[in-house]
Amino acid sequence: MKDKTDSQLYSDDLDALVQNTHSKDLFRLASARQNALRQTARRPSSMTWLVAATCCCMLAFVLINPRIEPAVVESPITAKKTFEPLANQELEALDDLDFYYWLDIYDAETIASAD
Amino acid sequence: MDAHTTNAKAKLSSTDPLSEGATDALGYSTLEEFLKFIERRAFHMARISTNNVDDAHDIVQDTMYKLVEKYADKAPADWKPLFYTILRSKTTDYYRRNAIRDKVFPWRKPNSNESDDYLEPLINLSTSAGTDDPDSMLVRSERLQQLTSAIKQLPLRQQQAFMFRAWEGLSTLQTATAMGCTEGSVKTHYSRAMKRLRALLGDYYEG
Repeated sequence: MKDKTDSQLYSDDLDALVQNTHSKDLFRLASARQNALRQTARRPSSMTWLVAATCCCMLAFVLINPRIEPAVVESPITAKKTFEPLANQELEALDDLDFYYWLDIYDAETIASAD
Repeated sequence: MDAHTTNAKAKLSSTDPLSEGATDALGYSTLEEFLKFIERRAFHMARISTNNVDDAHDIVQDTMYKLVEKYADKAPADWKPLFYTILRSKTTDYYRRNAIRDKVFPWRKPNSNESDDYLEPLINLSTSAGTDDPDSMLVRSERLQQLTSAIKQLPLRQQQAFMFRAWEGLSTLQTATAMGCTEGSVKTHYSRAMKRLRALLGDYYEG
């Protein structure tokens, strides 16, 4: 019983100390409280970290893996340019056919005279 | 409503965080309200333990950070024991750092920036409340100064047992959880603390 009486007296005096905390200490405590609570708002969600980590892993896999060749994209414009010279070459070859006709005739006469 | 029903209802409210009267019994429902409710007392506990205002603020701030970071999702009824567990741990770490520092640098002076001005707000309040008896004002301020000085003289474990049990009003089980020891140890530390305080403060609290 005496313990309770003494502890109550001590507690009452200590409560008076708490009630009359200095204003500069109250300010510092309020500042600490706001800073502590602010950290929950700033912290990104775990899903964001998961997505970021997954993207990094995929990028690293693509860059490091030697078997994966970069895809070559053929655009219709370059394809046309590729085949244009070939098309021109065919026409030129056809033009030359008339030039070599006489060679075929010469060869035939030479063979005939040899016989 | 008789006392027994009232007590039973309060007990149920305090243990069941989802009950209607829980937050009324606790006095807070959000983490911000809880920190506002507890910060001043925690600061004075840390101040008495460390004898240094800046260190006390650091300990309280670290405790708040830890509670918000790790235990914000716990029930409001769990915040107080968790807060004091963290506070006790931070205070113990402070004592260990100081012990190591004193061994490595024994010539360094104790890290204390306490001044007598911390009782000034109490004196000012007594004056503004119209207490015209300066003698009673002087007696009270002296008594308070002796009380805090006596608590500082207690070993750390006895300090914690006294402050958690007598001042904060935690149960033996909650105090044991906060201190990381058994209920029997809490009772022993508390009993020794009261005996020591009574021996040191007998003249100031008689009658």
